[in-house]
Amino acid sequence: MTAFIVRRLLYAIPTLLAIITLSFVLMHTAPGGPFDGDANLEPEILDNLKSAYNLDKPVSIQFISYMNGILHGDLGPSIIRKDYTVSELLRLGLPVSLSLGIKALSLALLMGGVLGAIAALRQNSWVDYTVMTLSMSGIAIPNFVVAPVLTLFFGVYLNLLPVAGWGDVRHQILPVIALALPQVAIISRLMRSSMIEVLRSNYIRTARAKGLDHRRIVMRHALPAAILPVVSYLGPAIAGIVTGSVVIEQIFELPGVGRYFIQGAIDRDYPLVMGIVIFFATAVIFMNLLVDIIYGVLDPKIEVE
Amino acid sequence: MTGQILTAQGLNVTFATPDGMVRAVSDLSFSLMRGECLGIVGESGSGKSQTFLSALGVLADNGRAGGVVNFQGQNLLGLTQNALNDIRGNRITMIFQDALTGLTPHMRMGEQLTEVLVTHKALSKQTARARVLEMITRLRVPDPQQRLAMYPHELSGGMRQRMMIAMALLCEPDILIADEPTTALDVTIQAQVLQLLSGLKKHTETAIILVTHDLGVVAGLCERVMVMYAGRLVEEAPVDELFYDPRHPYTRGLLDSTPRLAGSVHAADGRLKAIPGQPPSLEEQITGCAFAPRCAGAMAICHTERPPLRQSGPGRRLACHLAAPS
Amino acid sequence: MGAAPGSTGLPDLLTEAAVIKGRSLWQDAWTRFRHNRAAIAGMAGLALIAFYAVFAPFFSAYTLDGLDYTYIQAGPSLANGHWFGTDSNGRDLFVRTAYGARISLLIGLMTTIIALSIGVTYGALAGFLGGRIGNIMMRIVDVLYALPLIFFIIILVTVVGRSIFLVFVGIGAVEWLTMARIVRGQTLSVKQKEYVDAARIAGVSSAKIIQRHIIPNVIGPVVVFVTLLIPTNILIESYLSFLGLGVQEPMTSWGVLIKQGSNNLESMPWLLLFPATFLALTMFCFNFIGDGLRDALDPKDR
Repeated sequence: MTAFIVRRLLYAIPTLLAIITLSFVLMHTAPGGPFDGDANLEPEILDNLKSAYNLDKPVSIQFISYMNGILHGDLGPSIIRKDYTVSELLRLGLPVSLSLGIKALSLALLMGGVLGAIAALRQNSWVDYTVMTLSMSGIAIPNFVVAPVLTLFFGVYLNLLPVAGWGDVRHQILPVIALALPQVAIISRLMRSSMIEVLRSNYIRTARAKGLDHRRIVMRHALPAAILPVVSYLGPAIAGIVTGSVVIEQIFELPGVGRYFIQGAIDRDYPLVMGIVIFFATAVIFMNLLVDIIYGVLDPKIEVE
Repeated sequence: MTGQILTAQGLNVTFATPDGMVRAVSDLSFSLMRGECLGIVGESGSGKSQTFLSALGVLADNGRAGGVVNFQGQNLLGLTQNALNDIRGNRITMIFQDALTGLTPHMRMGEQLTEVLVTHKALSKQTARARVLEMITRLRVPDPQQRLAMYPHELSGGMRQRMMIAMALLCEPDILIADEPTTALDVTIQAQVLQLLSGLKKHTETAIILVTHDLGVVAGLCERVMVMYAGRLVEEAPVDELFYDPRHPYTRGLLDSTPRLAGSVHAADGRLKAIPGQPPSLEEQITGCAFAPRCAGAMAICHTERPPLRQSGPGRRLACHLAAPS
Repeated sequence: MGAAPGSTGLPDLLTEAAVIKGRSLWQDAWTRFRHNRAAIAGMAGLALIAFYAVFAPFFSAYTLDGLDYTYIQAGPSLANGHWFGTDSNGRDLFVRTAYGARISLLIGLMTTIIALSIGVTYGALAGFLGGRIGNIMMRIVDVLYALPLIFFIIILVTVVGRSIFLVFVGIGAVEWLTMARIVRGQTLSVKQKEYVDAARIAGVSSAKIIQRHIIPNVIGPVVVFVTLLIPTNILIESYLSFLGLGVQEPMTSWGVLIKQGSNNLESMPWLLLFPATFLALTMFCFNFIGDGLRDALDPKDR
């Protein structure tokens, strides 16, 4: 197991390096720059600005100093938000985004798993059809359509829940649900088909022939096996939640990292965008490693070597 | 050894498939005596397995069973799953052909075995485990403690089959149904399993139903044999009589096609005598005798009228126009 | 058993046999597909939407960004000709949704073609070459697969600026990964099948093997995936446009329209309703077709 982890970590490092290098190269060799928007700058001021941000030095030197900075936890200053460094911005936005993401993921796993299992246990019944239709809607209707509708309904018409900002639990309900819904849809489908296949298997037949009660068969014999494909899907699920959170943060005006990300792209704030990318790439890579370990633990047939 | 413990009358098993209704078992009637060993012989698709899967209520979702299967005064086919749970694994148990896919892959063997006792005999986990250890030691499983801590895929084929058998014997059932218990195993393991079953016969009152396509297995173990073809019973006889005096052409064909060392039974050119043709598709209604298309002695009536199942001697039944003319 | 020149040798027999086998499988699949009512409904739905996209503007008196000062922020009405209503500038929604349909569908289609080309080539190569190279190629895919799409897009936007070109390249360049995986998996499994060995031993050329054996077997899952990839790409485009990173004015797409709609949800709910409904319907249609294809080509895979 340790060898597996070490090997994966070793793979992770060149991946990260590649991402960092790639983003860096792209940003610095592309036409245009962060100061394009500040029109009518006199040449000297422009030069000074560039010098202040080291943009006048050769690219290779910039790269080295950047890498140096990373190793020390310094992701550089934000060019556009001049009072902040990237790390500070991250520290501001991360708690919100993380909280949103984790809650949405947990909700998705729980609801998706339960709905999918129930649909499988009552295959071809009205429960099954309802779940399948709902899940297809969840996949077909993007969360940036569902979110405003939910907002309108619960926030404005019924006046039950706040529609913007982040704070107490009431503020979190709508964004978390809106973010989780597409994943609920996918996970419930996955769980359903996996559970159906497990329920048809020979070992479930043996369990039934042993006269075990239904609850035990479902909980102890069927579910642990059916859950495996869902665990495999965790990686893409996390990616989906990260992607979705960007939109959700916009719609609900949440002070998370996603907003900085988008704005940074539009403003061409290189350090900010890169800092966020590096941070998230690291997080995603580690989470995928975690998922693989979890899968290895759950499935006794896999020797995590 | 008195008394019938299991009887079936007019058992039908059908499956609804996209290509039509498949009649896996038609109008089957038989009885099983306490402590006897009954062999059910037939090729794939003869309905031999589905008969007992339906009795235990573990048919696939698209299967339906009709008729009566009587066990201790109750029609098993009419019971709910909950009611069946008291009987299966407890009074009537079943072991299956492929122990690798038939055992839950993510549960250790110990738990899979003890849960039978915990469920049916309300034993504590410790007591159950002690009984389990005792059972598998009796079944000659080496290092029993270690084996119980393993997962099914970590055991060898023979070991797995032993575990399955142990699972089925823990509650001292009245009937053990063995569905092709030796088919997936190599010959030496086959012999061990058969030995186990034979020991079971000698030392307990448990009746055994041995479902197989292998006549050799039946010969050594069973007292009575039923031969099934295309979902129906075609011949039934005490084992010796079946082997020395087979009356149904299909039974004869089965016996003739068994390869033997002394080749007296083979055709002149030394090749194996196979039964020509294929078993019929079970989706369409079959007119006449199902075996007629492949039967060397088929008469006109065989193609138009299904031969009725009749007594053809003490303890013998036969469904054939040729061998038992009306 | 020497074959006389000009007579049908073993290689020809084998390749012909494969073709015959292939054709009846397709017919089987087509019959199954035809009987799947949801899938047929999906195709009908798509046809209608495509018709709407192409011809709707001809039916209406209004244009893409013509401003109708008489009816600003007007709700849908049959009487005044603004069948879907107008937006805050007085632009007709019926026509705009149709133009949006054109762009969204076009983008969905073209990005899928890009992803298809890259993915199939890459995957087939990785599968066919096999060995170390194949493994390394797929490792790269694995690594890229783990990263959310949004990163690449954002990086591209930061670098290139917002443009429709970006949308094409960005989406296509990201979505080819799964395609490559599928194609490689299929290629590998087909490569191992006995009939390929048989053909090779009989002397059938590699090109013919690829053409007659590998391609028909790979096509199935690829086709299914393509029908599910198009709606995914349409969705991604709407997502990007919603964020302001995709299609820019004066062009419009469903994503742009949805964004405008969601900004004005309280005052002009029809602005969100119509484009969103069209988007959702398109998704449903593609999903039904994709499910139908999957069932038709591999019925046991339920």
